[in-house]
Amino acid sequence: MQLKHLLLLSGLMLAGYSAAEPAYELAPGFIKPPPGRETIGNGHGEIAVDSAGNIYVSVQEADAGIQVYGPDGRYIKTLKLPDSLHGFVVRKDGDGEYLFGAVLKEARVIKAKLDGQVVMEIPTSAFPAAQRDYVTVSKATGDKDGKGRPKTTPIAAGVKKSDNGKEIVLTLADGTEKVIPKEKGVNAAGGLKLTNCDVAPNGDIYVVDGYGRSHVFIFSREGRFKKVFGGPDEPYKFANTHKVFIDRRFEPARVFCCDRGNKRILHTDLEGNLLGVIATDLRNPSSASFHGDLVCIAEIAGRVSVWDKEGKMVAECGTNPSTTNTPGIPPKDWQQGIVTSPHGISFDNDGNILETEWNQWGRVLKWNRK
Amino acid sequence: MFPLLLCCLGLLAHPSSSQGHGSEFIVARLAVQAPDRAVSLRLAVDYLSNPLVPDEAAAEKALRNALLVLHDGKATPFAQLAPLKLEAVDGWDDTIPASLIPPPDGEQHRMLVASWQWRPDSPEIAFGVARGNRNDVLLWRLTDRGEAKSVFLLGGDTSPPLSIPRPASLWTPPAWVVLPTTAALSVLGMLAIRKRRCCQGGLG
Repeated sequence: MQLKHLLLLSGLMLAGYSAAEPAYELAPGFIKPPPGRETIGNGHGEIAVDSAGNIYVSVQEADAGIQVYGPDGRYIKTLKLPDSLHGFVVRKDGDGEYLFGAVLKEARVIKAKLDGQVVMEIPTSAFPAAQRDYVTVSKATGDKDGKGRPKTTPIAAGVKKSDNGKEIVLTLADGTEKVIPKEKGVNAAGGLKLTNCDVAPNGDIYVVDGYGRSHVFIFSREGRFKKVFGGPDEPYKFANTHKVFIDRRFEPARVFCCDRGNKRILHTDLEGNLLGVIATDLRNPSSASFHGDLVCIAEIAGRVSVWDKEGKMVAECGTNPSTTNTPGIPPKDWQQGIVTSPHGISFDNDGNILETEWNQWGRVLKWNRK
Repeated sequence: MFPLLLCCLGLLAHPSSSQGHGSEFIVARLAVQAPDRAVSLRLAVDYLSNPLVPDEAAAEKALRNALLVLHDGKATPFAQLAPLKLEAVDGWDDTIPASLIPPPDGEQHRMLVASWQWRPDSPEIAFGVARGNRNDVLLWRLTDRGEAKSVFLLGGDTSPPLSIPRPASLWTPPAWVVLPTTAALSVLGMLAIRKRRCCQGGLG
């Protein structure tokens, strides 16, 4: 009788332990690349799973930006979508399921059916000028560097109001205007570099300028601009906020920000008000995905981690003992189950983890939940 | 035959490279000059396609604050130990291993490069990145076999130690020189003593 109780207690303890601490095991060679190819192709993007379990991976290939695989990892088809879908999600919206993606090279957002038909676009022109047209103007100092090239120095930064070829007019932070003669050696650079988007329960679309100044833009379901928050200034002090996601583990949902340059994860509410920092000192958090109360995070400097709702890390996968962050590791140097540069990540519908890497040859790893 | 002057780093298993859509970290090439035990670095940072470093002034600041040197029980900002020589370059040049030059990504890059050289004051040093420093550092060196070895340092990280053995101050003759020479000197010494005794006897 006592032994029975002991066994029961042990069983309960084990069950409790396994519920609290999920464990994962590698599924070697899960993804089967398209016929005739050894690898999937140049990867600098994302991975997502639809409600049927099909897997979508972005690759940098012209008019073939998304590859679709079955739940068993077998290649199904390629979608004719842009080649720089740096960040995307698959979400149910209204009457259907769609792919929402940020097209990095074109500074726009698309909404597409899962067969690749684009049904809505947020063009660059829909973004507010204060961020879209923000530039830094530099001019030549008159000195030359060791290679005889003119050295430049920044002279002003602000919103470009006009550029008629003879002068650039900027609106500065204090609201004043600055007219800069466009002499030889004067140059303006800036603009949006959109890296990801996600969709809130009310249909609003959140877009981040992660390779730009890390502002988060909110658009309506129809693509009408509503609000902007974040950026490099107080109170956010975002830096290379690589991707943002809507964290539906909470009610109301929150914005989950992978603030990569600061190596931290933080939450804001859906209005952009800071709620708090969840984790610091990560290995450059680049992407995330949710399943139940868990979130998995792709850390580009060499780790996949899993965190619970309280902000505690409960598992890690594929950790590279020598931190990495490179697209240049060829297949011959890949080590089974060891990540190189995790860039995109998704749970599948069973809570298994799929990860895609920043890699010229293209690499996807999968860990099954034990 | 000669003692090894430097037992260089055990740096590391995996080659890494730079870039990003971001070349969003600093690349630092490490070398150790054998004759004078000087440690040199050539650091480069991109300030045109780097979301963390928006302009040349920020690039210079990032380079000046890039590394700490851990030496003799202290952690000293490397730029306090020796001056930095800055120059602008327009390509990756030899700032990263040739095999790891990023693929063309349509991005323009403009690099600021800093050269630094210092003679360590302790037999072992390491490099670190200060906690909270946003600019990661890819520290790399070429081995004697021409192989690139690297370690990627995030804020709070420290590299494996770099051993700087004592300078080889005097030439130590090998045994095949020492033994015959000693024997010859001994024989010469004995002959000299005998000769002196001989001479002394003659005088007496």
